[in-house]
Amino acid sequence: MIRFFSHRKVLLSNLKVFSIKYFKTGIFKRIKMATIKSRTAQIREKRLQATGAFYGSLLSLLNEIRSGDIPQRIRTFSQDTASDLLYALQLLNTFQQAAIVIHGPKGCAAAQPYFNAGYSNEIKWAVTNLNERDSIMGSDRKLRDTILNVFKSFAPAIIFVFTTPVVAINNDDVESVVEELQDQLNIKIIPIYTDAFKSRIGITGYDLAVHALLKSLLPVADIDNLQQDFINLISISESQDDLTELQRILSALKIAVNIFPKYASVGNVIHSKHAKFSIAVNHDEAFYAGDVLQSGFNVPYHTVPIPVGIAQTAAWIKEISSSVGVEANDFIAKEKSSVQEFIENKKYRFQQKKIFINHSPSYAFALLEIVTELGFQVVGVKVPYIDMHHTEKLAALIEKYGDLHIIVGEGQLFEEINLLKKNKPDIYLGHTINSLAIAGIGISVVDVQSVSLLGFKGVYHLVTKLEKVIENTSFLKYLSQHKPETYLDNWLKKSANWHIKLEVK
Amino acid sequence: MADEILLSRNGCALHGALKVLGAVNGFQPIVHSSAGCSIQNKLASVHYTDNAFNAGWLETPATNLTEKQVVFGGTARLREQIKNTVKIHEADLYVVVTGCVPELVGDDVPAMVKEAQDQAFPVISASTPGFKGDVYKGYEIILKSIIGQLPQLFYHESNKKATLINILGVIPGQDPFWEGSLYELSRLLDLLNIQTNTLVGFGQDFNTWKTIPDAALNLIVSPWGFSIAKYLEETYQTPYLNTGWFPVGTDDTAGLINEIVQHITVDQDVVQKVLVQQKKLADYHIVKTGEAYFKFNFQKKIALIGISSSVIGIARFLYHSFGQIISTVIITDNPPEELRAGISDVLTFSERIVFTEDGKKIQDILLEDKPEFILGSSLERNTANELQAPLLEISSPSAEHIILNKTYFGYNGALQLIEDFASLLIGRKITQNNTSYLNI
Repeated sequence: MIRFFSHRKVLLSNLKVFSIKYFKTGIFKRIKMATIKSRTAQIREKRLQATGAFYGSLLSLLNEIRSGDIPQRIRTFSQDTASDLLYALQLLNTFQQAAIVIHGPKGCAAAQPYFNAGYSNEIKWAVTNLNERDSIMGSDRKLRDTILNVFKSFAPAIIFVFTTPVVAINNDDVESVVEELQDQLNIKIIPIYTDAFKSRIGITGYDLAVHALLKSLLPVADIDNLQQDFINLISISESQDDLTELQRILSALKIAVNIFPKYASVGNVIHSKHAKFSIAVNHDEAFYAGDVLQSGFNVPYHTVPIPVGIAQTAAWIKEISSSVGVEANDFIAKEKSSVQEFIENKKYRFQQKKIFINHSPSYAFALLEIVTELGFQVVGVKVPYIDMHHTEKLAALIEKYGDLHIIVGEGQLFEEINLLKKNKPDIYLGHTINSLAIAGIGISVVDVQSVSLLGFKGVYHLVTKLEKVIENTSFLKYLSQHKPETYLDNWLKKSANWHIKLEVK
Repeated sequence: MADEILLSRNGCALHGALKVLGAVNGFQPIVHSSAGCSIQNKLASVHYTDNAFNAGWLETPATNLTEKQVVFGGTARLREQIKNTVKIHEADLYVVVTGCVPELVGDDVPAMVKEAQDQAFPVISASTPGFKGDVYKGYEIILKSIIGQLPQLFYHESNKKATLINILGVIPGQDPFWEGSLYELSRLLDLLNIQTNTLVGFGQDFNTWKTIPDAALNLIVSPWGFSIAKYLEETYQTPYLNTGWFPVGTDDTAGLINEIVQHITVDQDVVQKVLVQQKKLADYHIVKTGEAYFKFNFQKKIALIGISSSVIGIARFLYHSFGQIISTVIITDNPPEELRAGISDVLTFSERIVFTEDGKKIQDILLEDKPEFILGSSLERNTANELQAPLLEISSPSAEHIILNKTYFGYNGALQLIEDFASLLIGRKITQNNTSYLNI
């Protein structure tokens, strides 16, 4: 992918835009520079009061968040869920000219072929392959050998070392090995302190990765205030297709953009401190990086809704264009009218169809608005986590659409199936690795892992996909007729929150 | 000695156990570990096609241990998880498999399992932390754990069946053709009136596993079943036959069948009739390839990369029956040292035989060797592109294909192999537009 990154001067550089109005978001906990200096990022439960276990009405959830102390709940039965390690790997596997060292037993690198297949087989990685002896005697030497081997074999520009539960429990000294080799090899070697057990919120892994990356590549001492005419677009989980659409929009407006940390190079990260301001694709994920740049390098971080859906995409563009001082109204009007026309012709197909949404919070809430506008009836929403950033959005949704059922939890298919069997939606719209199980109970699945939802094009993609699943359901019927039963009736009759309990401290 | 691995392709012991449990109808794993272990295993299969039964696709019950349990122990959490799993997931057998965290912390898993057993729940456990071994070791651990613990839970009067065979050594998903190969082997033996317990895959369930002691023979088709066969020999006096790999084509397949029928009493006339029929049919089809074989110059310098059970048979067929020049065979499943000489003995035609699971070493060997055609995994894709050689996926990960019941094993497998091999070559010729079709 060609990244539109340039230092050339772009139109007006209106510096007045950095006003306080961009920080109007409800509760906005700033990441102090002391935090970035610390060894690793704070877990999301502590920093944002994030929770990964809740089932009930949006309103009761909102009240809990507003109380300022979201109660932590646990599950007395759980199914496997992605760890911080997997999220951190997902992000940094795409870093250009990087080598990945997974410091643990072989199995901690088992997903690497999967990531590799999704990234043109370009990922360079190694696993230290810890065995029983290493788990007792320590593994410093093995880590050293692996880093040396990786350096020699791949000639990377940067090396990321991911720790794993075994290393975390044994408290192996990763830092001194890394520091010594960093000097010896004259290359950046960055430890990411993933452990799979400190946080129940998998995407804490993104913060751990971003923290380590910025801490190492952007020392605060290097602040130089050499502002240039480009903006940072902070991307954490987006696909190439997602970013292609956003770049199409920004280059049409002649706005130069530096995309990082996803698919980024060392240069992209270092240059981020010279940007006029930073903007997120998805605030839920990008906030950590944006705030570090703001508090450490005076690069303002503008919060905007995720560019999913016509209205939010337009708002996203307006925020950027007005801050840069570029006229975007014509562009927006033109794109908007063609998408709107397209949608109007399709709406009749979706009237009164019931839909269930499962996606990360910002996506889920944006999708809720789109599908409602299309004529769907939303019967439930599932998000992997929720935190204090979502207060205003929840309040706005309740005001606009009334109360709704919400499950908070990553994975936990048993709860999802329980609810889906009761709500009986026609369509399941979600980001999931459980499509088969859901289709197995007779619900059409729109798995958005391969559908780019961002920008104006995202609306086309979504509507086109929805049309297709409604048009022909033969495979769905086939699956639901040939799949065995899922869970015991005993469970399916219970309330979906049966196993979610308040944590006893 | 366990060195670091670059561009790794094999999971850990826990993953080996999960691959088996997900491929037996009615077996339900309960993962006792920190979060992410079974997700890693699911992602490792890339397209999730190995998840044959409920346990494979309904998300795995997992204790998802947190810091509190790392510090204070996770047995209470496990007790709670077992108690609730039996109320949510229907199963004939629940198997607690452990990851690294509880093994380091020192959780008393057998005590928790005993508690559940006392309540009459069919629960057993297997110790499968990743630091104890790889996916192949995990296969051996889980088989031994289940076969060893089942008699404690269920009474089964052993009743030897003269024509029943157990097939050992197939790790679901480690070979993309695992299920197709098992199916084809069962089909062939069925023609000879021999019944098979394939243990994993289609039609395999709790009852199949209960009858493991009844078999007249244990057939081992990879390096990874020998210790289980030894155990079954000691415990149930079942003899074993260690063939180590799936043959491809008429000669080697007939060889396998002839070996099996030396251990099982069957009508020799039927055997000969079946062998002749199968060979006739295969030969009839293979011959049809002749015209294209010469026109498109099918003879290539070949490198093969994969696990021993599948790569040996394919290499032998390509050399002995299809005229290929085999320059390199790379075996990626770490067979025990003592078996390696035997593997080399059946591959003497290959210029080079290497045992490694290190993807970077494999790349380096290929770039040095410069084969014209590569049979390997999707991890060899970039090297194949660099060498401008076609890549046929015969080992995991196979990211470019969805494989359901396909196999290169046996008589039909040879035809399938030729079809795929030839199609790749011809397809390239056509897209490269350097062949004149009217040059008669």
